[in-house]
Amino acid sequence: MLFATAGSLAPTTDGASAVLPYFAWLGKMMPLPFFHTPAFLVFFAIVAAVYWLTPRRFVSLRTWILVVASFHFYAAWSAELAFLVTATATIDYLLARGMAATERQKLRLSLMIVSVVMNLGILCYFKYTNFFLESLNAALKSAGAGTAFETLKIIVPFGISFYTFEAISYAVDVYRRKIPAERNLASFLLFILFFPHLVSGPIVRAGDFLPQVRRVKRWNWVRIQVGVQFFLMGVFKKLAIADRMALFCDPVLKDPAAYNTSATWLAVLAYAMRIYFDFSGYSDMAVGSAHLLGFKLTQNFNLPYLALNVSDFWRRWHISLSTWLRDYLFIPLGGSRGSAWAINRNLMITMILGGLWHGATWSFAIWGALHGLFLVVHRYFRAFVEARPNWKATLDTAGGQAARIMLTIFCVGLAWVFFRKDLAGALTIFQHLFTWQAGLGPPMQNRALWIIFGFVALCQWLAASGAWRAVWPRIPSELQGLGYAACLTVAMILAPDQSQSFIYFDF
Amino acid sequence: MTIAFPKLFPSIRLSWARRSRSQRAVRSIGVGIAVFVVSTVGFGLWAEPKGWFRDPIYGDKQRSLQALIANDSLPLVVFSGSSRVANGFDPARVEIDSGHRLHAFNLAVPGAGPFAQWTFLQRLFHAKIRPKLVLLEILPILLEDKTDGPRERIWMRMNQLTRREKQEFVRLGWPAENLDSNELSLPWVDYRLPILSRTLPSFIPPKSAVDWSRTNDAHGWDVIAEDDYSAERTDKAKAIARKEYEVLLKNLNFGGASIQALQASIHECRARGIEVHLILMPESTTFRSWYGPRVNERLLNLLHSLDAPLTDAREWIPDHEFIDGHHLYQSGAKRFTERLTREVVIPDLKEALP
Repeated sequence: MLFATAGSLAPTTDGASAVLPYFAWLGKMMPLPFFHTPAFLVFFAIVAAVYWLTPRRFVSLRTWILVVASFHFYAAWSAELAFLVTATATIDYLLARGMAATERQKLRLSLMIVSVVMNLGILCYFKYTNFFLESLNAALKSAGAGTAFETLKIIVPFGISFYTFEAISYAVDVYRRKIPAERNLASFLLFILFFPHLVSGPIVRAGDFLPQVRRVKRWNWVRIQVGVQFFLMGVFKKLAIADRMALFCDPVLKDPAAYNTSATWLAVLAYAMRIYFDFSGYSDMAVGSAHLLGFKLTQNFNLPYLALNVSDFWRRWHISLSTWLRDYLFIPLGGSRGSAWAINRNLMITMILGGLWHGATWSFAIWGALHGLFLVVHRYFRAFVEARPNWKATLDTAGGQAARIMLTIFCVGLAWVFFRKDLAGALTIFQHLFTWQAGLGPPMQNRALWIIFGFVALCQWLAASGAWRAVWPRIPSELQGLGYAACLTVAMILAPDQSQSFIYFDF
Repeated sequence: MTIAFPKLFPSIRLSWARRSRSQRAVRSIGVGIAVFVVSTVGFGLWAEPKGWFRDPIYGDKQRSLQALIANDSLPLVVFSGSSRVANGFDPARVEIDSGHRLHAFNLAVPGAGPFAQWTFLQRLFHAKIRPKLVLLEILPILLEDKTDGPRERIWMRMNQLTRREKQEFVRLGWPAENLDSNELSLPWVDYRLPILSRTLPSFIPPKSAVDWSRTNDAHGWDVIAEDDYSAERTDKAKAIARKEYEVLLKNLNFGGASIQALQASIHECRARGIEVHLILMPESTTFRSWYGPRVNERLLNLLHSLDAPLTDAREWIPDHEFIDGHHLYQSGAKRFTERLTREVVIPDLKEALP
């Protein structure tokens, strides 16, 4: 890797990868599908060169080039799972074609259900089988049963949560006739497999992506600049901020019982920053890579830590997921229609399932439930405030807005404690946060944390105030270039010895 | 005008607009790439020959040594070794205990074995520093090569070496494939720890910092007072030492590139007329008990076959003056230095002392 190794993600070397020397070689060349590795940069340079050197009139050939490249990107990690994803995507394509070919509503519904069940089945098998078995074993144990089911050795495919949601939304949209079924297999495969969004999103919609596949793309320097900008910003966020925050929070989260209360509070703050910059950094790199190939992906973040309330937070955080959950879960459940009880129930179900989407453990379910609870409380509070103009006016002042932002960050930050697999560890952290505990101090000097925090706050303010958007285009291009070089250089210097895996690669 | 113009020359207008923005984009990307490449190459070329920057832990030591000798011609004693020497050798005492006017300096760096010692000697000679006596610590576990090269590799950061030093390593038998990691090597990445240690020390975890030698005294000694270690910390240090050494010492097989590097250092000193003396540093009773039955014999046979006198100081210090069985407290360092001065330094420097 560019900045040392990330430890946790072991590629599969058995099965097809071992049987077919080609895939084994591929795995050695690009062991991890991380964007900030030299292997990826070489891979990307080759793909981009072949893609752009192919005459633009050969749209289909260009599409196949990207499909083959995307398949290789995934197969480098696991050939078997790359074949699985391709096969299920092909089945989704055929089922949608089937829906398009018939006017019989029941048959259309059946085909849509088959597609959804297949994708959810794959998701459940890979991601939730062991969760169910472990929960069942725990229940049996508490009931006094002596026997237990053995958990399975399952490797969760990268990005399974992302591409199954894309496939489900496609099937539902075709069924609802919101979009036509894609006729070209290559275009559909690219929609699912396109490597910039394959393993960690953003979750793209067929209605946004497929028209882009069909469009003839010309080399456009302005777009290339946008892509470069996004990519560099992502690299900076990941290496200079997220990985550096990991140095503050990871030791505490790993062994929370050993640290004192103030170290735990600082670790929670650092973890909140780490999650945001890790995922938004990855998303920026994905968006930037896509731009460099002439595609525009959905923006996934919009300054979420400046949200005025938790509801606003979910309009700014992981936008592609929150809109997916809204459109394909919350609204079909009844959405904001019906009684207060029904709305609250819908919110809770959506958020708990959203939590479980991130990880198959009870701590993620609790994280989702907490957010559901925040949303419910916020609904009542909003109704309460709207009936009182004085309250509303006070909350809309600068001071009121600052207080709302702080409260939102506080709630979201506390909820992040559960955004991990280890529930017992999360409970220990809560104990250390709210009861005075002695122990080790912060693993690093606080000064660095506050410097980064101040820098981040300044950047967020520049972005939110519109100052950055107003000034940046007016800066001479030579200075912009200097800024790019400085951004990359600083990211490299600040990269820690051990670069961390992306948090969302686990989902 | 705004309505008519696009209708009359829509393509021309669009073309102009696009070209202008495109030119800006090309220029900014081009400048970005050029600045990055030039700054990276320039920085790499600047840093390569600057030992004090590339390898700050050694660089700080050499600066202290240069400040100490300050162009005078007094005899200089240099002790090169690992953290055992760093903690255990108090050079200021040599100057006092010997009763002669001389300089002594502790050139030890944690994890330093034969290859690091050879490198440091080369750098000293390159800086025109000529000791009269060089004491070389023998850390037994670093005289055994693992299958992928000298064990010293565990502690050595390859990017602290110049290209020339790496070539010399290969000549001495260090496997070439293990000299450079497979990671993309860019100066900004290679030198990030020295840069951060110098500019933003709070940004790096203490164990990654490369400013250890800044806390040494003017003679390069890393003093550890008894008060620095609580009972709990001492127990932890002892447990770590046991974990690291007990199994290893049971069956050491000496040989390979490490011995060649040690011989090269001895030869280099001899060729320059510098006295050289090998030292086995003090160890506690427990620590010594970890050596396998034949290991001690093999070790002494090997060391006696080399072209340099050997002093086995392993039994010199009582157990209570060790932190963890092989690193000395301040009191142990004083006791060790006093005896070393009496039994090694003064006899070896006999002719050179005024």
